[in-house]
Amino acid sequence: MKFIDLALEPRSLRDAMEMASLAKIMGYRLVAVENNDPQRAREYARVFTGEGIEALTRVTIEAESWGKTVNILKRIALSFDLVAVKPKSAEAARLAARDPRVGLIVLPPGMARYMDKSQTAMLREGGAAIEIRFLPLLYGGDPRASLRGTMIIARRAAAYEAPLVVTSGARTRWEMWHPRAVQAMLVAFGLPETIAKLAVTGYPAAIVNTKARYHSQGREAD
Amino acid sequence: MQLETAVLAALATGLAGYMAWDIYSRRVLERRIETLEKQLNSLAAEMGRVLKAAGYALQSINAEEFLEKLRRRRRRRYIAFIVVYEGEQPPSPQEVERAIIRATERLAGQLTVALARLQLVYYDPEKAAGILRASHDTKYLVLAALGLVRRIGDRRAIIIPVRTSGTIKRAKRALAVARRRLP
Repeated sequence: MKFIDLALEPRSLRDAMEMASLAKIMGYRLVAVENNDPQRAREYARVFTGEGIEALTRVTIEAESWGKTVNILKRIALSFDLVAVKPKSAEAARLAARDPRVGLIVLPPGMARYMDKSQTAMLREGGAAIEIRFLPLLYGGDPRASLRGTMIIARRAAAYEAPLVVTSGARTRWEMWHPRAVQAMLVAFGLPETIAKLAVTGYPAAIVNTKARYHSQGREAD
Repeated sequence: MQLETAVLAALATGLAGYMAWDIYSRRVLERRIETLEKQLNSLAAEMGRVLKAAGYALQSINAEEFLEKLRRRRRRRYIAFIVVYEGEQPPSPQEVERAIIRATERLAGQLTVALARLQLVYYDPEKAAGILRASHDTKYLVLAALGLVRRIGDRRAIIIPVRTSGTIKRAKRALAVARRRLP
């Protein structure tokens, strides 16, 4: 089975090396490395490739208004394999989902309200997926905030049949999640086993096949 | 005349005697009936108590059978895992078990820990690999809780689930294969 984690954020080369060796033990076959500097992201991605794990580069854009975000997107989209958008407003969430350059819409636990029927329709139109990060679950806090928010987004995505991608957002190897633990957590949230499995295998693979290819085609055209 | 009077007196005495005897025998009969009624009532009460006790006994037998069925249905799962830890010294089995129980408690509460009957059935401190037993209906919760374990004792650590199986033998075999694959 091809396990995929589309958000790893190593802070240094050493972290990247440690994460790459652990990712190999955990059975990941493809990862996306996040860094704002495309050069550094590629450098870290090469570390993963050296361990035999396919690696992409990715960037996350925080979007308050879509007008400003489109300009940023135009500038940086071609430097990375995958673009994710973290919306700060409902308008940004909807329009980002429709944009063919955007692969993932990152919804933090507090933004569960954006995951609704019209968001699903937009996601279908643009071919993007909803991304949930499991990093906030590690740091405890009020379960009504992080755990409940994450659970609601996952449940709504499953109910509306929206593609759902779960990532770790790990910055060091101690923050990485084993794909089986991710699957089990989704099942514990009340999702069907098949969808839980797709969230770490099929859905991210589909995003990589459609969106990452889109970028490579763009680069080739340039 | 005197004879008639004597006959009449004798008849009257006889009648009076008969009536007295009749009243007496009726009273005796009534008393007997009362006694019999009392005995019957006490017997009925006794029977009621016996029936009640028999009902309780039957109920407890049914409850026992039901519990036995539940016990039989409570299947076990063995989760083989490897611990990746910081530093040189691998964590002790007590530390590992405590960390897992704490994480399960944090995620799903004490009731789940009790229902899951969590137990570290095997642990090799040298290889930092072990097998955890849980009930099959709490398997996913326990696996999810394993993902939340980030510290064992005072050191940072991660638990990597290798395989979940129904027998300890297969779990041990999976563990051996996984250990061979590790660098």
